[in-house]
Amino acid sequence: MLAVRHLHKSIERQPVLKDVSFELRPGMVAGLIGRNGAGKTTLLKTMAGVYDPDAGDVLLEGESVHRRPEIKREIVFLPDNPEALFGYTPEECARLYALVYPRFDRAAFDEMIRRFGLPANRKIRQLSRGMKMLASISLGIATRASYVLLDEPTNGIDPIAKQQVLTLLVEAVSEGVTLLIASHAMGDLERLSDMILMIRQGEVEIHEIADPSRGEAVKLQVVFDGEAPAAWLASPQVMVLEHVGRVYTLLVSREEGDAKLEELRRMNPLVLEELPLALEDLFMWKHGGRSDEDR
Amino acid sequence: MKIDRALWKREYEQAKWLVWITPLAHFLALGGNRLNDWYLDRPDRIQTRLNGIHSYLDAYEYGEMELMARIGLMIVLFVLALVQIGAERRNGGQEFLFSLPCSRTRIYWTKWLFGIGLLTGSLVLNTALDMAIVLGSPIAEHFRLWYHLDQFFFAWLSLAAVYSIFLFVGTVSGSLASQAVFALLAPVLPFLIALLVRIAVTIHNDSVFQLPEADFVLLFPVRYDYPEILAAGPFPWVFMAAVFAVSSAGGMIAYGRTRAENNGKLVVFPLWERILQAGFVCCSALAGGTFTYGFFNASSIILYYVGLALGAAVSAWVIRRLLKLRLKI
Repeated sequence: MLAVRHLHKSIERQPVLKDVSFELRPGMVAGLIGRNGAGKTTLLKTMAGVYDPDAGDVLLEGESVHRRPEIKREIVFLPDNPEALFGYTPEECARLYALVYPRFDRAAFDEMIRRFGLPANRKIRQLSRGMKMLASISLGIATRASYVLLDEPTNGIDPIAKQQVLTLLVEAVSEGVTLLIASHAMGDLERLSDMILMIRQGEVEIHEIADPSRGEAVKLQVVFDGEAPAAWLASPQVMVLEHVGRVYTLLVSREEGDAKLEELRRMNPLVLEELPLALEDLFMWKHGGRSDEDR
Repeated sequence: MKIDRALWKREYEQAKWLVWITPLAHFLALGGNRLNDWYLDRPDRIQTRLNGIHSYLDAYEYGEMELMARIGLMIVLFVLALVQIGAERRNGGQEFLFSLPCSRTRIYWTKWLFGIGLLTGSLVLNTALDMAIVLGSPIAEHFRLWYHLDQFFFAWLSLAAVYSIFLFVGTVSGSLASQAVFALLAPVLPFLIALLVRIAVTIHNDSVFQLPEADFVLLFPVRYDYPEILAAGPFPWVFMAAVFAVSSAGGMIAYGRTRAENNGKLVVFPLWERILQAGFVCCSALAGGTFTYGFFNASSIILYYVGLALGAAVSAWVIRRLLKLRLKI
């Protein structure tokens, strides 16, 4: 198990991570979401040992990855841009990784390269963005490390390459690899993940994918009978996700009880239907109208 | 271990062009030059040169070729240190290395050993070639084994010390540009500070200003007073060895504690930021005072203090802005 315990990290005297704690169980997929600059990359880099924490620790099977870096054979960090490997060909990368990671599966890597049509002897620098990510993820998975940390793996790549990346990730999970994926692609995370870590103002909230809002909010489609109640819609517990004609798609908070829902029911709307809450709705609700000041 | 092979492989991959350039440049400055003087030149010119030789120091041209070789090697090691530390902060190389399953001390040790190995290899190869060239040349009777060994160890220790300083500076600097500037400044900084302080003391004592001893300059490899510096006794050797040991250990410790999140800044450690801030303001204030005192030719102590205050104010403003920068190179 990879456990993050009371992690604190400040950058330029600004707290980026505040008392962050969570656990990644073997074989699970966790999505890491948050606004730009919320601290997703900082968290991944601190977990990978690139950054030192100010306080707290990252423990792999009870041992600190910062104090015993050699245990990071079980953790691979894949940045959003494999810039460090630009001077290498996929073939040379494989030879390098085989020296670093004792269980590196050369046959599996060659198979992935062949399947995705990646040129084995062209410099990574010369590949398209999608191919760069495929090469990077193929390397990461071929290490046979138990934990793979991915930063924006599908950012800026075309739909076909994106599908190929997702296929690779699904295959890795089926082989028991644990993934932590930082991404803005909510739909993909919703399909892949068992758990969502939402980072906001330096703190991480954990949401199970089966019930992302943890019962704290309900998504509704409403058609009011007559004039829409402007005061009710403007209340802090209500968020208008969409408004088309007379049809409103709303998020109503239940954090302070069901009073707002009761008020709505008393208005006798023509349509009042509960919709499944998507991850993107949760994200909008948590961040709606507000901006993080930190990273 | 396999991980060490991976680290060595990576160092070689990113600096392989230097691995070939170093011995070649070294040869052109030393053995090649000697070859040109005693084998390839016109016979009458070789004879004229030979007639002017009265001692082994004449034959070895008072170490001038070795000096050129040391300058060449120092430039190569400067570039190597930039590639190994500064460039890696920019191109993602450092983050890649820090995410690998090995300690930062081990990564630094590999880098340092790579540079020292390159220096040693080039020195061994070229010293051997130079000895062979001298032994086969018209100046063979002036051949001195201890001269070559002396030159070898002087070059090795002085260049290893300066290379360790370049690397150490890199571990503290946040970018390629700041590493380059600080690495160039570091060896002459003691000289500059001593100069400014002596000027200040001289002005206040109203006595004649004297240039400080060149011993403050840590650029041992480029010193051309080679026979004298060795004749000065063990001090230069001990001092170079101390600089070598302190900068190697300092680099190792600083690299282990590097704050990668500050890459791009002038320096990566908050403590060093404060040291840089204080040092920059002090030196600029002293330089400002020296400038106004000398520029207006008035020899007025008041003008010195005006320059001092102006230097301090302007430099404090400048350094505050510089410390906020995130350099792209």
